Amino acid sequence: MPHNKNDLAKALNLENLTEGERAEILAKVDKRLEEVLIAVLVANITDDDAQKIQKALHEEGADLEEVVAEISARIPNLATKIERAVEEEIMRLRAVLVQ
Amino acid sequence: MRMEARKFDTSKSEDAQIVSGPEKTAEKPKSPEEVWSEKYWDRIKAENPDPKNAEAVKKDTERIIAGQLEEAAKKGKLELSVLDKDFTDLDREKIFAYSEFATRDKKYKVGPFKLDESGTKVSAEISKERGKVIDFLKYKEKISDLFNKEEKGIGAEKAGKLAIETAQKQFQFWKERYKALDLDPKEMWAKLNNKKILGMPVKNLLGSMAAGSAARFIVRTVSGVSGGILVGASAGALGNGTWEAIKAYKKEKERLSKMSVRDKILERAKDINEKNIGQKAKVDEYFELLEKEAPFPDFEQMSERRKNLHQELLKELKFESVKGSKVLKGFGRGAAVGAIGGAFGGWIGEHLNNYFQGSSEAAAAIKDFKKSAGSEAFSQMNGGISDTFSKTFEGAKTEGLASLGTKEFFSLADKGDSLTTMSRNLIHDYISQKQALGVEIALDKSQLIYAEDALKNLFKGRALSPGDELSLIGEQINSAIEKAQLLTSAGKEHIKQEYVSKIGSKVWEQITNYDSSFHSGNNFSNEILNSSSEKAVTFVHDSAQGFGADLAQRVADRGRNRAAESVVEKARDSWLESFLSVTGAAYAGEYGTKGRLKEFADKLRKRKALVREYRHAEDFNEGDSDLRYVELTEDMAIEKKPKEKVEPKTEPKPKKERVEKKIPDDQMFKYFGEKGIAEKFKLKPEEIRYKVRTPNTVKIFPSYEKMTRWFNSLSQKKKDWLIDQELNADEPAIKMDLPERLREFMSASPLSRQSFNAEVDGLIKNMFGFRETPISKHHEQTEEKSEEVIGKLNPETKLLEYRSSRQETAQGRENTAATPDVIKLEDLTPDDEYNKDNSDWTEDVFRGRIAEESDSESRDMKNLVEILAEEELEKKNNNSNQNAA
Repeated sequence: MPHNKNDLAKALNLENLTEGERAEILAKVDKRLEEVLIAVLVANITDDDAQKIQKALHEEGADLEEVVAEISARIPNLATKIERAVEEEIMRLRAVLVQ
Repeated sequence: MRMEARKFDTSKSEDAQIVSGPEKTAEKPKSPEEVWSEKYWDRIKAENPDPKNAEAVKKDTERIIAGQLEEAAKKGKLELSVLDKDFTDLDREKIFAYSEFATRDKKYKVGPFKLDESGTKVSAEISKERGKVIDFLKYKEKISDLFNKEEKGIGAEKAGKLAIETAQKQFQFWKERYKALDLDPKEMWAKLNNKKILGMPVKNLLGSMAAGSAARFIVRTVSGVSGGILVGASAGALGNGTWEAIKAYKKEKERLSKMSVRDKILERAKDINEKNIGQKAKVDEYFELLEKEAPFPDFEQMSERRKNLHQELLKELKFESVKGSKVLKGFGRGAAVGAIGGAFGGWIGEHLNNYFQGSSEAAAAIKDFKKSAGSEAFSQMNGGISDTFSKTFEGAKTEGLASLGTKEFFSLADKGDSLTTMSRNLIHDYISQKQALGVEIALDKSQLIYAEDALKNLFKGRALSPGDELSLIGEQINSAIEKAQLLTSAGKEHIKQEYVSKIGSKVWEQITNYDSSFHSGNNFSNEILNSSSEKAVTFVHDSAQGFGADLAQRVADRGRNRAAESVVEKARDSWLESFLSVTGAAYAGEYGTKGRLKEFADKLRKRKALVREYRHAEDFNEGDSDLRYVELTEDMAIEKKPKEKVEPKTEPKPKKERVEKKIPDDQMFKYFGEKGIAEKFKLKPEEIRYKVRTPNTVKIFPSYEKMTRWFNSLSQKKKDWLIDQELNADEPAIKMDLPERLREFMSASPLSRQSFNAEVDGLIKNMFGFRETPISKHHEQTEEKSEEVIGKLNPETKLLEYRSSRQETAQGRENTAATPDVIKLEDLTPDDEYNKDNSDWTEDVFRGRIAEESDSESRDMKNLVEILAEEELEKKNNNSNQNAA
């Protein structure tokens, strides 16, 4: 959503860049934050869960979303963990970009 | 006539009065409910004139009613048939008898009765839940719809309104429960209600939660339709529950203290910032840096499976595939559902408990939900409570640990399994449980093989077929492990050379991975930990201490740049909103941000939660048969009980030619050879000598073997005297004479000295026929306790003393006084031969010393060795216990 992107751009001090540059960096940041989410997921599941997700990834007709939802719902305080991981990543990004 | 729904509110006397009018007795007025109820029971008596019969019928009736009430409580609804929609007296009697019996005798909570539309039944809410019963009556239909899996959602606004009304009542209920914590539910509710999450008031969020899929998921599970996500939600709740929070508090403190150290990336990010390059180039450089780093802490320790999954998921993200999007969506939904369990679980749990009675799984989940209500309370606790919790928890855990020895461990036979495999699995599971409870059992491969072989003998002669289940109690398994721990280094070496390599590396990997038990029935640690935490939580709640401010938050705030934090938070929120809008799930994790503890993944708990399915290593058969493949000589497996005083035997010659050629017989020379010391100091075998102090001389031996042979030739009394001197006298009876260059090296190198001490100690004890202390333990103990004296060069004797100093005792002093002057090194010549006739050590001298010792210590010489051996054993046990603790 545009206004969210703007907030993020503001937080990362990208406002003075050209629109193209800003969009490019934000896209990378978005991707990076998604990677952070994946890291949170993988860091907090068991090997058995990993196997289930892998199976759903490769199995035709498997409900991947449902499998991941069910597994991630079991992670205590997952929301907090996401929050913290994202927070840390944004802190680092700010360390890179904000003077 | 138009039928009107009439209500009987048994909790209000007016209702009864309407029906019957009050009846009074002169002395003690009875309530109308009691009067009607009595009539019911009187009628039973009247119908059974024989008093004995009447009493029996009454009891039977009570029993039947009790059963009906129990069933009704499970459904949450008590239904009674009535004869007439206008209620006959019999109807009234029955209704009030049931109501009275339920509330007075059985302590149920019964709501007002209501006549159904058919006019043939009345029904009332019934619950066995303690405390205030929430009158769900007026919400009944709506809320039922809300939780009906077949129904569609009723809309966020409506659901929110209902949820709030119910929750407000619920908070009143909590007020009583958390009285000791001095919580104000209204205040809590106000916080919740005023808080906005991503621009949405919490009440709206709550409504959408209730109307959404999450609640229905829960209900579905409660009604036994499906599993999975409720368990997930309850796990989330548990994660947010009080005891988890208390544990998390400590972890969080540690995390914050380590964060600055750990987050080197942040430091390097700052370095990038200082470079005079454009923003885009900085970002690119930062991402390049990330590629070289582990994605998150502990990544390297993760299993290959999870690493692979991580790679696969990253690939999906990279190509922006549908699958990647599904993973993120599912992840977001899971987070939201977990958050419901955590943040609103208390309310949902209470509601469900009053409204539904489901499977035992659901009951357990609800119990966990209830715990989550304490998370807010915890935010108001001070550090003291953490200690209270820890102590209670640890105490309970220790009790549980002690009970492990009495637990029955199982092993299930798979195709191709042998008794050895079964024993191996039992040992594995026993160790895994010990370790899960915090007690490390370190067995090397040789020891594991020895232990499984020892254990296997307990099943000797037993035929085994796939599907058979064998079991042993923990103590039996522990005994085999203890025996294995007493293996000598020679015994271990023998097994290592002969058998360890016969078992494949994959099997070893599985055997030595103690993350979880092979057999799910052996997962006792989980039960113990849960029970311990339960006890601790109960204790903490009951302790009613004055809880202070939220220390964890203070710790979290410390050192943070608040201005930066607010910007970060803004950015985070905006990004999360975007993320969550994709998932279509509301983000409830924001609840109570300021008071919430930031919990890290509790790896230990997660490990307990995982019960690895019983599976069998495919290549377990490799090198694995029922043949007794561990062939040890007596001295390799030193299991001799001290009391038995088994005569030591000489070490078997190593089988490998290579070793035999290079290292002569002497054990210490072998030791120096193995350590590379012999080569480094150009040590010759003849430079190592053993000196033994007898009552009137010092004997010198060129090798350990010869000293042992001499010792074995002594009479028992002389042996006993030597052992006593060695163990108790101020100056040990046996010393080693090493060349000066080696002594200097030893004096300068604590580690070498420590290792040397342990080796010599083991050899001497071996000669005495004592069990050898495991070297690793010995290292720790000797070095820690006696570093000042042990292994140091004695300036007077110029000999290296390898054992710890004894406390000076009367006996010790006496012994010293009676000991001949220390013989200086230069006075000793190799001609002081070891095989000289022992006649100088006369029985008279010997007896004299025995008499002295007997007087001073009142010990019977005959039992001296046994006592010493027992003390030694006790010492070891104490050490083991301390290690366990």
